[in-house]
Order: sequence, then structure tokens, then C-alpha cells
Amino acid sequence: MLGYFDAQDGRPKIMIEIKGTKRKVKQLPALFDTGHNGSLSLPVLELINIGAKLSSIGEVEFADGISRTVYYFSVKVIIDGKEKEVEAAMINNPKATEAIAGTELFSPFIALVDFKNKLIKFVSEEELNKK
Amino acid sequence: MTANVEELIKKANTIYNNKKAELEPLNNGKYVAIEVDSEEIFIGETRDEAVINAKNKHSDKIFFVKRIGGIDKVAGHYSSSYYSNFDYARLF
Repeated sequence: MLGYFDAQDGRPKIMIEIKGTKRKVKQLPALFDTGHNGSLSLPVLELINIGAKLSSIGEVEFADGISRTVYYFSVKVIIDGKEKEVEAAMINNPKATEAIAGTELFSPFIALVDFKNKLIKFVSEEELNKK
Repeated sequence: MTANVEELIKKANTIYNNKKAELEPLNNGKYVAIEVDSEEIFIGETRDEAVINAKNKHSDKIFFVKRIGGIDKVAGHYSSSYYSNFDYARLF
């Protein structure tokens, strides 16, 4: 599984496929953010588009110390041909248009960042030990 | 059935506080999904795992999920400033 550095904005991204309650699968680029310890955050319109169902509510604290309620939706993510059910956080910001992929989404893969060739490679522990 | 989100959070926090002694510190860092009507709790290593465990028993409920022993802290993915600051985008 490969990620890339977007030529337009220079940020690390990976193509993911998401599915909600509707049959259709949506493919979209997600910003790979190692500072995000959750699975996935999606703009509200993407959640509506795939018919994602509200499944849980949580509270998070921002860097400024303010805590807010966050809504999480059940989303199936297809990575490397395998389907994984995750709790995707709704990005409560009308300006947001892109998905944010957190570290939990790629567990148990190991991420290798190649700054020279501007690639991100996700490998299994077995694959890494073979090399 | 819980009437609104505020009430759900309030009830869930009461349930959590009542069970705090059995949750903390043994499970600190894990996640707990709380079903407020039955007052049942489901623990998972991750948020996803806690909710999947809860859904196995209550498929149509909405759960309150909390990090045991603390609160989830985020850098600002959900805030307006996170998006407006992309002129100075961080990589990692």
C-alpha cells in the first residue's frame, strides 16, 4: 500500500475507499496525519454522501483546553483490498473538504516515509522482517 | 430512550463515575463505550474496538465513548483554525 506527497500542496496523502449504509463506494484522498491518534475524520458532506450512520458521541479537548462534543459515524474503509469498520469523526467545520487519516486507521501496518522520492509505504511486520 | 445529546452525555458520565473504581487505573488508556439505557459498559483497546463490542449487543444504539482515565486530546482537526492555517501547513 502506497501513499504520496501531493504535488499541489506538498502534504502526505493516501487514497482510501469509504462506504456507509449506501451501496456505493467513494474513493477519496486522505491527509495522513501522525498527530491524529484516531482512525479517520470526515467532512460532514462526505458522511451524508455515503449514508454513514451515527454510532457514538465523545468529548475531546483541544490544545487550548476547551472540550467539545464530537460525533462519530460507522464507516467501512477499504485499505489494501481489506474492509475495516471504523468510527469516523465528523469534522464540524464548514470549510473542511478533505478526509484526515489517523494512525489507528493503518494499524497494524508500519509506515515508512521516503522524503527523497516523496512516497509513503505501509508494510506489514512480516514484510519488514523479510528485508 | 435518552431525549437529547446533553442528557446522554450527562447520564453516561454518571455511569462512568459510578464504575470509576473498577475502570481506573486498571484500564487507563483504553476506551469504554457506555450504553446509557441499560447502563452497560464495553471496553476496547481502541475507540473502534469498544464500539464494535457494544454493537454486538446493542446494534441500534448510540453510545457515549470515553477514554479511560482521561480525555482525548486533539491538535485541532475539527477547528476552524486548523483549516485556515494551511498556508503554513505542517507535514507531521
